[in-house]
Amino acid sequence: MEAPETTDAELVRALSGGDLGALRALYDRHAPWLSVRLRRRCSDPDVVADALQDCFVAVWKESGRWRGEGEVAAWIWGIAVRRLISRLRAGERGAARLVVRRPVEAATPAVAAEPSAEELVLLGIEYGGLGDALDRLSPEMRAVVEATVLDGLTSKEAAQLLGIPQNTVKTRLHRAKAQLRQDLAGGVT
Amino acid sequence: MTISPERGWHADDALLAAYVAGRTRPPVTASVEMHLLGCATCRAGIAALVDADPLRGVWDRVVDEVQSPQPGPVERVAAHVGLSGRDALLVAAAPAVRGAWLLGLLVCLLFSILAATQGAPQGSTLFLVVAPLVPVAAVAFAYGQDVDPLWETTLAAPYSPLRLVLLRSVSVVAVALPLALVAAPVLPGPPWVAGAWLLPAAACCALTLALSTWVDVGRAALGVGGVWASAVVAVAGPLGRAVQVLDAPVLPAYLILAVAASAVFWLRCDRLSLLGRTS
Repeated sequence: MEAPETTDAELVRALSGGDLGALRALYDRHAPWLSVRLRRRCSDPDVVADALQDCFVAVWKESGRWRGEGEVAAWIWGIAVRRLISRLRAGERGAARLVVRRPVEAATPAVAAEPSAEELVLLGIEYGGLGDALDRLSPEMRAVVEATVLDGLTSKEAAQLLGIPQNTVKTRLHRAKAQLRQDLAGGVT
Repeated sequence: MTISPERGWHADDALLAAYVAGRTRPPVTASVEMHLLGCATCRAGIAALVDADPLRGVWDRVVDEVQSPQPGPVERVAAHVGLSGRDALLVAAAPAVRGAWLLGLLVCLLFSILAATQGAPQGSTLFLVVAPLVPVAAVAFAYGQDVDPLWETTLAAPYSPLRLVLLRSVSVVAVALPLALVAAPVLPGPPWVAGAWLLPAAACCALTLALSTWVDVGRAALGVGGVWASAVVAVAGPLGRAVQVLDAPVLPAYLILAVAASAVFWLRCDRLSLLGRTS
């Protein structure tokens, strides 16, 4: 791994001095993966582009809010997904917003049917048996787990992202946790 | 697949390509996303796979927004109470919201309060002349050729003059009224008088707006102001009993006048767009 000449943290600190070049560098590093990940949360490319724009404007204006701990990438993602939620709320594009990610074996057998060694390794590192259990959840429950657990959203924010009532988020999360617990308990031994 | 000292494994290009194309199964997607948060190498790998053109467009918009002038305090307050950015800008550009105007108003009110508290009979006369005319002046300064630096722009803009006048009038009155209200309690007479002057103020305001559909809004305001001032002075007489203009029997008349003038303004408001073009 070749180390970048300036770290993300240094770039964020340079923002408070009004360094547009630092923002450009951050954008070049983070906008691509952010755009891909946002597209997984919202199918409308225009809304994603707006959210990405809002995100980097917010990074520019609120760089002082970064506490200097942890990954800059995680901090920016937290901003980006919340900007996406505000854009979705402003646009009220309820019907188009949610991309429910279903298993895609049929479409891409090569990737999905036989996980590569790399995939297994990634799964092993990050989740262990959780990955398979996650896979067995219904798309609705999985979307809730992803929004709350992986994206770190509150149940209110998750409800706004997914376009469902907050209570539904809570019930689905509750059920999903129960199912995961059961799956993991049964699958480990 | 490579091994780095601190993170262990990296996703290979095929996996990243599948992720970017949305072809990974949910657990894999989740794993990749978690991994990306902590791995600059794989983030760079994604960057190589993503179409750069749309991202360049977004960057241009980011630069535009970052470098555009920051909204002033007035615009921020206006945006806070729910006005759109465009409305907020037009309200903020109203000359009446400028410091000099407010300062003049403040000094004017201060003098009448001083005079009233000194017990001079002319003090309350002065207050009763000035206070109801504060919103009238506000309306006059809300829209007009002579006072508005954005006048030509406003004329050319596809924007309803009615909306502009009302927006600016309301915003200016909202600023001016609290100032005038501060002065009200020092008036002689029963306590309700302190608020009663709002009725003639409303009547004068509506009358100015109604007249502004015939003549320039500045002249309309001058005319209404002149009539009001002479009426107060005449009623006051040598004894300075100006409070009589707020006597109970007269108050409904102000209300009727305000409603009637508002109706006239409402019916004739399309004439506003002709202001300043023909004269």
